[in-house]
Amino acid sequence: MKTGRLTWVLYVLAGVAMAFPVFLVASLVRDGAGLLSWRFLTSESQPLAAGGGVGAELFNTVYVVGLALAASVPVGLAAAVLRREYGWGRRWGPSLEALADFGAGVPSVVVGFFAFVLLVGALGWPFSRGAGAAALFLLNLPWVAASSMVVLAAVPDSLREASLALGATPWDTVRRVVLPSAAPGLVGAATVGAARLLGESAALLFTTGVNAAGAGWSFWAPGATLAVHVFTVRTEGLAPDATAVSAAAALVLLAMVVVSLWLGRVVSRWFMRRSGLA
Amino acid sequence: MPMRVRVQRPRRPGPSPRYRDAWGSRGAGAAVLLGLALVIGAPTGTGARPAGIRVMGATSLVPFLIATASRWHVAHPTSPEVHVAAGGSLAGIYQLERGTVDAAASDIPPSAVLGRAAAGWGALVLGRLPVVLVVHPGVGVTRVSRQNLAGLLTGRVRSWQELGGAAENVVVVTRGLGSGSLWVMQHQVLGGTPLTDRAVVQWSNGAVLKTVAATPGAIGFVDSGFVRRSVVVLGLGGAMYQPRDPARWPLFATAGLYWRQRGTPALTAFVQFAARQPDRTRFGIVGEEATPHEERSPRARGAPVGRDGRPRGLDGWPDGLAGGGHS
Amino acid sequence: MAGLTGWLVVDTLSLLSRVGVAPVLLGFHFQPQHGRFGLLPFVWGSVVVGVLALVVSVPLAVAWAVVATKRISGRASSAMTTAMTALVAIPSVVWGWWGLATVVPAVRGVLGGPGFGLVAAGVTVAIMVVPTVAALAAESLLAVPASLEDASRALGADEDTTLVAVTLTAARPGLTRAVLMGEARVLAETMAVAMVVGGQPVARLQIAWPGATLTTGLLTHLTALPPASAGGRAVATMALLLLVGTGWLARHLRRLGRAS
Repeated sequence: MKTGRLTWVLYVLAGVAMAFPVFLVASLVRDGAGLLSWRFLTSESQPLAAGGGVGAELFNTVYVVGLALAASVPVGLAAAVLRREYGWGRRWGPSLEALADFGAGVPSVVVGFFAFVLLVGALGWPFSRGAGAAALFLLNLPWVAASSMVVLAAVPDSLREASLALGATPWDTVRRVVLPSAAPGLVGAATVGAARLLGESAALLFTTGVNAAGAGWSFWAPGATLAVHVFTVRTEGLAPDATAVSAAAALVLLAMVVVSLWLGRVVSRWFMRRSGLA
Repeated sequence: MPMRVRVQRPRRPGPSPRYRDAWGSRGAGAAVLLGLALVIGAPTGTGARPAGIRVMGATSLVPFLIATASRWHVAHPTSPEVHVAAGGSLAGIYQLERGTVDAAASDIPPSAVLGRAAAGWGALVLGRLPVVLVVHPGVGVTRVSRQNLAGLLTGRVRSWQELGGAAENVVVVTRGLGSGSLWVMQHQVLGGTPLTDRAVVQWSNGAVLKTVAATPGAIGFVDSGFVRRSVVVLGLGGAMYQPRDPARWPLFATAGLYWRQRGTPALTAFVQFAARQPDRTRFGIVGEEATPHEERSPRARGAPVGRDGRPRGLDGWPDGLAGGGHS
Repeated sequence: MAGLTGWLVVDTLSLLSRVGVAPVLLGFHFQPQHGRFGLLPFVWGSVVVGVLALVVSVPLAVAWAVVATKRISGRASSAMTTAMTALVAIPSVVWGWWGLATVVPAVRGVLGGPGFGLVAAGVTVAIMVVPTVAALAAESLLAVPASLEDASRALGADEDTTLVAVTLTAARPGLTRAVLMGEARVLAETMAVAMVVGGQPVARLQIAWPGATLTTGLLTHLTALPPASAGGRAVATMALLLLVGTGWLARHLRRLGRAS
């Protein structure tokens, strides 16, 4: 068939659209790939001199994001299970879903503002990994709840009915029927949440503080993450190699996002195979 | 207009209340509440929270503070940790006034920010922060008069050609509200006139420097510790900034570390530790002996004082902005 | 959450009653040190960035989605759709990094001025949300029954006509939803905008010059103004406006979600 004029236009536009991300990664690689090394990943950052690494930022990213995920995923999932499987909050109608959807769309800078006012201001927390993790927890909770509700809603009712008809209690039904068949979707939702948290910086600028050496493992130590580091080094870094450092840090961040998405896929597939869906 | 049909969706045949097993639902409910309580509550418990020292303030002082905090952690591994956050001088003073932070790093005197004497506040003057004028290397001008500088910053001078430079439009790069170097420009050069509203506003010294270096025709101002070879330093009238003799440069802010009331022993120890740091010049802080003392009279600290002898706030700051709304 | 929102409302009302409704909502400058608390600059900035992002991103995203789902097939098609979902996860600071390196100099070169400005911010976030919009658009295009398109072709329509008259029309609710989702992300975006927008809180028609949006205004002022002052209340008002804006979008999206 003859290719129409509109189709040509679409090909060009699609090519342009896809060129931008390629261009982005290419410029990151051009500026930053030369720095990537085991030393870069493990050494301290340098505010003024060249040769700084991202050791502390990498550690903080895993720490803060891991903590936020470990807290927000179970709580959000439990809320979704209560809402969808036990009908909690039915009297409020759909407002719980609406609230979760609304919460998931709140700009992260507003969440950061709330976290700053509430945790650092009212409760007197220091600028720390803990405060950052709490901010990310607040950011991720509505997302986990909202997306888990959607995933649970997609589990066919026939499964539940069959389980209940066989005499299983609702809890058994949730545990043995609903959650296993929803697991791939739930893992996917959690993964997207993780990727979002890895790249988050607006909610962390005024909660995690600025890194200092010798922070150790403490919950209360300052803990700027990689995303915050990319921002600060890119906009105000004064080391002679600041552009390269920020590009390399961005590459590391991208790699972490890709790895977490890939892990999510693997785990999700595993659940699918186990429940015989794939 | 398409016809709208409301379809009553069949209700999901959820488990009837009779079959609701108490364990499952209450257990899950308890898990949610317990989780929330743990996440918000546990760290707030006074026992768990360490007596950390929270410092917020001028981005120009952050590199110095971080270096000092790092050394502090090494020298006093068992002492409370120091937590630094940037945000600008005003932010530091305001958050200190509210009690959000334990100390403020500022290059504006607190009395000038608050509009009244910061009675009982402790102060450690770290030294002078010369504020240096920097331009893009292509502008072709190396020296301006005070009048021309005011013209450039307020937007009256539109092209460098007017000052005998290149045919390049002037792009002013300035700092946000909380900045001490902006405060110096407004008070020591402009006499309170606002800068041009075409200026690019950046939120730190480093960002101003990078923007000026990357933007043809740009002029900005940074604390002297942030000057790099990517920009040209501008002379002002007869003065030229000399890194070896920074005290002769006329535009400067006074960098200080401030805290409230007596301060905890750890805070006092940290301040004395900061006062002993010998290499402040590396971070652009010059002159003056650093000695902790109590802020008594704003006059003594070189804060602007009105005709009635009372300290003047940031000129024209209305309702509360200068502290009135804090009641 | 409700308490915090209530506090924002109280602060907003007290700002409006002290400074006046018109100076706040219609003021062209936000200069707390000179007693001006106009929030129009931030609202204007958010609107300009939102519209620019829409204009730039929608054609690119829809083209990507159409090509990936309707014009090519097999491996290439699935690679193109997988790429969309993976690229959604690129952090916004990384796009900001790229915006500083590429978009700002480009705007400076084409439109003059400093480069930093609402145009640079709009273009940067537009390119950032293309994968988001494309992924959702592809989803809704895949949901169009092939029988409809076959019928159109059987009636003698060529590919282009089928696309416009049948596929895009049938997918319209889903496409609208995709665009609104992208818009919600644009409105909420902070860091990528903050890095290139220039941060000048003034409302003006020359959108190539520095401006500010609600998110960047909140970010840069949230610690710099004391909470119990007019300036601090203005910050709370910005947060409230953002909540209202995103809440309105979320509501519309829910409606669309139910319709499709």
